[in-house]
Amino acid sequence: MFIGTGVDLARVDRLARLSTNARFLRRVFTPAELDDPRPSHLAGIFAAKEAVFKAIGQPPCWQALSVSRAENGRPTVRLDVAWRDPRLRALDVSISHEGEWAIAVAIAVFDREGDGV
Amino acid sequence: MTATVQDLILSLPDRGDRAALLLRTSFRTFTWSYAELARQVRACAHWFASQDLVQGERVVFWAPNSPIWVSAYLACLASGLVPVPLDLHSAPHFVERIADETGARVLLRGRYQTALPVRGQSMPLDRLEWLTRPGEPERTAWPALRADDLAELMYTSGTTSSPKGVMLTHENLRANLEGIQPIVPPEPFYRFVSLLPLSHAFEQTIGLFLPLSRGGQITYLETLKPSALIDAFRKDRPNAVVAVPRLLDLLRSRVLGRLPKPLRAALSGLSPVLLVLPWPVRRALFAPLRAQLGGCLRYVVVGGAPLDRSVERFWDALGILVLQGYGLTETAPVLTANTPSAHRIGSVGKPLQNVSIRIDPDGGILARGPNVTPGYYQRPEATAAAFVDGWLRTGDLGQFDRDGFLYLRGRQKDMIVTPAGLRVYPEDVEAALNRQSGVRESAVLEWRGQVHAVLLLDPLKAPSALEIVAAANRQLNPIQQIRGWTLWPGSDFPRTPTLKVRKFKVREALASNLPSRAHPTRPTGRVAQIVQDLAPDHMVSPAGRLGPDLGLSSIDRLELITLLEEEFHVDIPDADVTSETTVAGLDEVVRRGESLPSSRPPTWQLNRGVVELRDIAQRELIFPILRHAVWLTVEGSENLRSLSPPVIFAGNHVSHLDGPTVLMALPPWLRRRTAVAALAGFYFPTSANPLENTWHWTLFDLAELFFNVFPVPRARGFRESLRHAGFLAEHGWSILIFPEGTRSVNGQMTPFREGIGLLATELKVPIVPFLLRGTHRILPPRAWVPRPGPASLRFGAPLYLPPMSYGDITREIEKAVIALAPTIEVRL
Repeated sequence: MFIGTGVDLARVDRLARLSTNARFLRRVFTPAELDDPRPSHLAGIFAAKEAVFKAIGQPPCWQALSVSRAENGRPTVRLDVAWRDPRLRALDVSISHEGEWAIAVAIAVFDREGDGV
Repeated sequence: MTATVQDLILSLPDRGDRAALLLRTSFRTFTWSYAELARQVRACAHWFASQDLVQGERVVFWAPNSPIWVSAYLACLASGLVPVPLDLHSAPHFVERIADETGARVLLRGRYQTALPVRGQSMPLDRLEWLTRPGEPERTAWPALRADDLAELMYTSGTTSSPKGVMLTHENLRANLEGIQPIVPPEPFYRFVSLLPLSHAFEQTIGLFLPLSRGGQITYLETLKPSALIDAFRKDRPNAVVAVPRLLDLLRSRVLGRLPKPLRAALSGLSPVLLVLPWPVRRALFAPLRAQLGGCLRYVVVGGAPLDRSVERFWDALGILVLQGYGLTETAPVLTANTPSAHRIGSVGKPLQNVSIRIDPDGGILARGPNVTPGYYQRPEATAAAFVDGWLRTGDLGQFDRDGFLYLRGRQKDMIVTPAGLRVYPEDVEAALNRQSGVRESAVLEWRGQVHAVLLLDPLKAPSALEIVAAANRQLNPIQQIRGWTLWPGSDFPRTPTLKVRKFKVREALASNLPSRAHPTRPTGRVAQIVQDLAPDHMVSPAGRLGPDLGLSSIDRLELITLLEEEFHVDIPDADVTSETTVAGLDEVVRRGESLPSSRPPTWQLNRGVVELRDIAQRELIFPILRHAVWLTVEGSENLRSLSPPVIFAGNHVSHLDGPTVLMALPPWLRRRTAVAALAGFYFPTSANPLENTWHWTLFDLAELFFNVFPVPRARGFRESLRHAGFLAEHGWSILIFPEGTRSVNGQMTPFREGIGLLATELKVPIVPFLLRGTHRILPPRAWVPRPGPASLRFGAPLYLPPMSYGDITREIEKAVIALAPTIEVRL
């Protein structure tokens, strides 16, 4: 077994400024994620996605990764099969907000250590 | 008197099946006939009525151009509702504010425009499109509208503290359409490609009402990147476009870019000489160049920002007339225009027949006519200030030549207009400057085409001017960035009796060589300037790396990518811009984006001859053999009878025999026009054994020939195959797809991949679910010899799904397939 971790910090006001940039939104967020367009929410999702990319050690594929909130408020992530490393067994992420900042930590569990990862 | 806009809309069905609107997305092209447009307008009007919207109520539009935008807009106008079209680049809080100010209960928005209006609902246009699909109820009775009824409210873009809504009446719109009709040459049917946002009055009148009134055709594009633009020009062969100068510039470099260098230089230098040649000669000479733009382009109508004379000459030399016009949102919008028979370079033309123009003693342009607005929405003081004795103050300076052509000479108002036609309000920039400590006051104006600040500093408290400008720039949007500054030498600015800064005096002082400074670190290249705006504290050099040297975070890099895409109209993959990318490297990335290779799966297997051959081979050879192995029972065939292709057949995958088996079960009229999507991952496993690879390729070619298979790669090249699927759908081909992406080992179903949701959404075709059972026992994975046995195939009713996320659509399709056999085991 092999574990990858990732962490990312995002400024809420930065997302607020970028929420006028439809090109940015379309690139980074899925339509469902935009159902709640509050900058703090978007900052949390942004940080979560960045953290996941760091944890799985892959270049970003924003649209293939979606973050949603389960009933109990916990975020859940879904990575499209096409982008998933076949060795990837589990993926978890946690998000927190404080004032102008959102932070997220992600953990990825792989089957066995691969070459160069 | 020409017809009103309502008459125009209600007469749309008279043109029947002629194409009215085209939408080119990156996946496929959709066509709206006049009849279909009219139907959608009636359905939208019915939907508005069902929301209890009453005549005179406002509806906010905040979405990119598209046919459904047009339908909803026309539905508003015809039923006396008041559309409020907002610029796509508006900030969400600005949109919310306008929705609030106008009391709008419905906000129609694009998929990626997000705003939460105070009251009422925020409706995505693609959902409205689904709600008003064929078969939905339509409005049949229309209100009688009066000439002075409010038709629409136009708010200009920008972030100014007091936005003003220009009121345009039905008479304003009718009168301007009437005014431009006589100057537009009577081409039998116009073809337009829309380049400007529909929130722009120019695009509405000249790019929409005019073509519709002539039975013309308008193409809307999802993206304006040059490759998509040139593609649309080639395919739709427009004879006219409405543009802003920035776009003309872009097209020019695109056209020139394809020429050998010496010829390019000659052409740029020679155009004044070429103008001596008669027009028909020039047209003949440059036919090959014009062919790049479809070959039919005759007129480019330009307005909205000052046009460089050399650009005008270049197009004129090619035999394409640049007709510069002049107008304001307040005048619905055209006041003056050059016409094919009367045009002068550098002039904005003569006034329209029903428009009067006067120059006041200060050189200001005044306008009067039936197209002039009655005023600003709920702003009586602003309205009063805009008029003098019944004449509208345009705020522009100008003069007439002897023959009555108008020439613009600058602006009285100090709004700054960028070459892209975007507006920068000096008060916004001044506010950012005045917030900095040490700034007593600032005056921002346009100087040599750039945003320039004149600063009045408190000598005791002020840090350096450079620091002040850098700090202000950090708070400003990219288009608002201060590009140069001057320190004001006196103790105060020259002022009016009401203590406003007299900017024209400040400007005069600037002109008299007041020492001013350009931003010292300001690089020259456009790419570097964009980087500089994002990293105001750093020195940008070509070798600078984005992360380590310029301090750009990952989110900065994403913003950079979007700004570059916007500026150069290209697509840039995320992976091309990393923290190690240098500024010089970005130039390379942009260039690559401009010449994106478009590889497309071959289309030979769609040829009529091949289709016939395949049909014979299937009926005479393949299916008879297959029937021996697969003893097939088919259920739900009645669901196929009323289908109108294209559709997507989606179901579970258990065996190599599945594709042929489903094809065999389809009625011939459907089968002959169905292509099978196959995962390239299966057909092209990169094996170490070259022999095995050859074998797989041979298999694939045979599959193409006999089963019309096309490859869908797992990850890379995914967009290309989607575009191919779009190409198929556009030409009426249905698609058979197994969304599990792989055959299940034991006949159980595995979760569907989201690609199917994407296909269904972007191609907008119904999905026919099916469920196959038994084939996995006949030919299990890794087996080579089939063991004959029974199998069953069941088709479900076609699904017409509302817009949802790709994931949700995928789940819906999955559910529909599962529902075909309540007992199937699902392993999730």
